Order: sequence, then structure tokens, then C-alpha cells
Amino acid sequence: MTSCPSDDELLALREEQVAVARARALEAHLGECGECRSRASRLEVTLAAIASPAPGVSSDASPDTAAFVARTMARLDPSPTATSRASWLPYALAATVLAVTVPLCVYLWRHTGGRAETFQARGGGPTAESLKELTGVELYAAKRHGAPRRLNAHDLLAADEGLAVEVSRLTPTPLYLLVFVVEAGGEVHWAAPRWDDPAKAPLALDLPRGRRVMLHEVFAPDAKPGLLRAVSVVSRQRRSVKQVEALLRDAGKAPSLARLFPEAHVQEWSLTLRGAR
Amino acid sequence: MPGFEPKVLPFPRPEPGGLAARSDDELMELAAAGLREAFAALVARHERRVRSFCAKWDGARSEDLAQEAFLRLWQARARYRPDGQFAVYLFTIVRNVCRNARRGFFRRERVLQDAPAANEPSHRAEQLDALLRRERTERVHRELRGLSPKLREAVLLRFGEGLSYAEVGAIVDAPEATVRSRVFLGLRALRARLEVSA
Repeated sequence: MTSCPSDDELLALREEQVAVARARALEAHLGECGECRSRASRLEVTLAAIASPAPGVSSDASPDTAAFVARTMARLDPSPTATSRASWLPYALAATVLAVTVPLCVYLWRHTGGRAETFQARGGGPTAESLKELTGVELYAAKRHGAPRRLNAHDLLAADEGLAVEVSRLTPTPLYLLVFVVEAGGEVHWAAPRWDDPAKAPLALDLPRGRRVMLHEVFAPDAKPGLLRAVSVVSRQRRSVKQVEALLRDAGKAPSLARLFPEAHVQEWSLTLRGAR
Repeated sequence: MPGFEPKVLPFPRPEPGGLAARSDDELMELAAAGLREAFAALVARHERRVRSFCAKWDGARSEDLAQEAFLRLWQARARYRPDGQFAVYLFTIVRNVCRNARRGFFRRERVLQDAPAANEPSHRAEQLDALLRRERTERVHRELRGLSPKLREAVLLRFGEGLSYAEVGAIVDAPEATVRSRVFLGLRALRARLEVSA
């Protein structure tokens, strides 16, 4: 029988850090030496204790987890803890201003023709409200091979995936489609129609009639990795890409798409484009 | 559009599962894009590991240490490269928070309470066994806190978190051989402390 191994050697054996021949010899020794088996067992108990959750920390998900998550998330953007005595003053002033201006705005809006909700289109086809019922756009992440994957809000788009567009038009009225993505930095990339030649200004696509029609072109956005805002616009107006870019440019930093395209059915997706692997 | 010929494809089903089904890398990318729900899902997934590590490092302030680690993770989310090494990234932060912690540095002190007695096994013999196990575990954790930070972190990351020597090396910024040596020295020192305390 070989001599008894040291505690370090027992640990090395457990960590598979001894040569094969020596490991066999040690295992044979452990089979015969009760004292060494007991030491190996004590080592295992100690390692198990190190791996055990600390007291007070549950090993499974518990209500404590939800409370911890809530406390942590609340600290991401800490609210001011100390409030000075006069800190209510700006809020009181703001409330007063609101109390005066809101009724005034409502009055002006009612008496200056702000009656968008009562507008009736005469022979102009479906209104924005009915476009929601009669049309629809879905975005898919598509690879060269394999079935496309429908994109939901906050989905990831892999570097090797492109955007595929599926549309529905359930009305004979001609409708037009624009799909573009906007980078976090504001740069616009066109998916439908494609805009490859800067000298030209392609018009919105003629929306094909039918239910769930997949456009045959897949668009690979040449955008920086990070947050992307994908937008689809279905409208009775046939705008060009340049007109839309001009609208976006003129609308300021955070354009309201509903205001830019009041007659259209606008859908948005917040996506994340992954970087190259 | 000239030549436009729509093609009808089979309609695929949407992917099942929400944020909980995402990988750590995906959640970090979504968090980097500003999605707080994705970060909350990450916190929920890893809080027990992180709190347990912090409790073994410093029992009295484990909650604050763990929260601080997650806050730093949030601040560092944009720098994360999704390469399947999230545990290394996370525990690099956790380890730095624990090592740099000073008394009074965090908002408040907190003492963790033991699990309520109602959760203990009802049978008396099982109760005794559980008490002995808990006492032994607490003693090991207490003596671990007596090790030097270098040895303590090596032992905790290797055996507490089950990380490989290479991963521990990446976290503590030391060669693998050095980590092995620290783990061995740490366990030797721990055994010595346990013998003395016994």
C-alpha cells in the first residue's frame, strides 16, 4: 500500500490534477485506508459547506427574490432623498400653470376647428381608424435558410438576420407601404421601398392585396449594433422616401409618428441589432 | 415597384417564452439597449448566487453588497461583449465590490435573519441534523471570512460558484496556475482555522 497522501494531494485528486498513474494509486490507497477515506469525506463536507447558500439566502426563487429585484431596480435611478423646504414651490407653480392652460387649450381646440374625430372622408377610402382593421404589417427576422421568426417588441435581430415584411390588405382601395428602421443615433435605413440609388426617390410600395403576404425581398439593415426602431406606415398617400425623411427631419428630436402620418396606420417595433460575431 | 411579385410563405408561429427564456447574453444586450425589464430578469436569475457569495464574503452587509454589484452591472451593461462569459463578467464586478467594500461605505447595515422556524423539518431527528448541518455550514462560512481576500475569493469562486480555474483567473486577473495555488493555500488555511475553532 502506498503512503498516505497529504490533504493537498487529496484535493488535487478531486480536482483531477494528478497524473493518471498516481490517481490510480491514490484511489487504490483510499480503498484500503479508512483514515484517508475519512479525510477525503471531511474535505467533501467542507466543500459542500462552501457551496451551500449562505444562511438567509434561499436556494430557490422565493418572494424574497421579487423583493430584492424590486429594491435593486428602484435604486437604478435613485429618487432624491433629501427634500428642501422650498422644493414644493416649482411643483405648485407648475400645477397652477397647468390648471390655467389646460382648460384654455381645451377651449381653443373646441373653438378653432380641432375636430379631427368628427372628420368624415368623402369618397377618399378608409380612414386611419379603419386602416387598422383592413391592413396589417408583421416583421420577421429571416436568415438565408430556415423559417422566418416573427419579431415582437424588444426582440433581438442577429447580425446574420435580415428583416422580412409580411403584409395584409383586405380592401380594394389602393394603399401604400413604407417600412424603415431608425438607429439610436437617428440614421434612417429603408426596408420598403429599397433605396439604393441616392439620386432617385422611390415611392411607397403598392401594398399587395391579400392576407399575410410575405414580401419577397429581405432587408439587411446596414445599421450600427444597438437599439433600432422599426416603423411601418400604411397610407392612402403615396409618399416618396425623400418626403418621409424630410418630415422626420423637420419634426425635431422625438417625432410623434401619429402626428406625422395622421391618416395612416403606423406600427412600431423596438428592436436590438446584435453586433458581428 | 417594377417587377414586384409578392410571394406567400408559410406563416410561422411566434417564438414561445418571454424574457425568462432569454440567455444571459441576450438579456444583457436588451438591458444595454435600455430595456429595464430585461435587467430585472437578469437580477432575478442571479440574485441568489450573488447574495450568497456576498453573504459568505461579509455576512452583515451581503444585501447591500449584492445590490451594489447589480447597480455596477447596470452601469457597465454597455461594455459587455456577449461571448457566453456572463458569469465571469458578473463575478468580476461582484468580487470588486466585495473587495472594495469598507465599513460605512454603503447606505445601511443589514443583518440577515435566519430562515423562519416554520421552514424547518418537523421531525426531531431531522431537525437536529438540519441544525448540525447549518451550524457546520455557518462555521465554514465564518472561517472563510477570516482568510485573506486573495485566498477567500479564489476558494469562493471555485467551490462556492463552481467556476473553472480559467474563469476564476479571468475574474481575479491572475494566471490559472496562480489561482490553483491560491485555492490550495486557501483550503489549507481554512482547514487549519476549522481545526482551531473546533
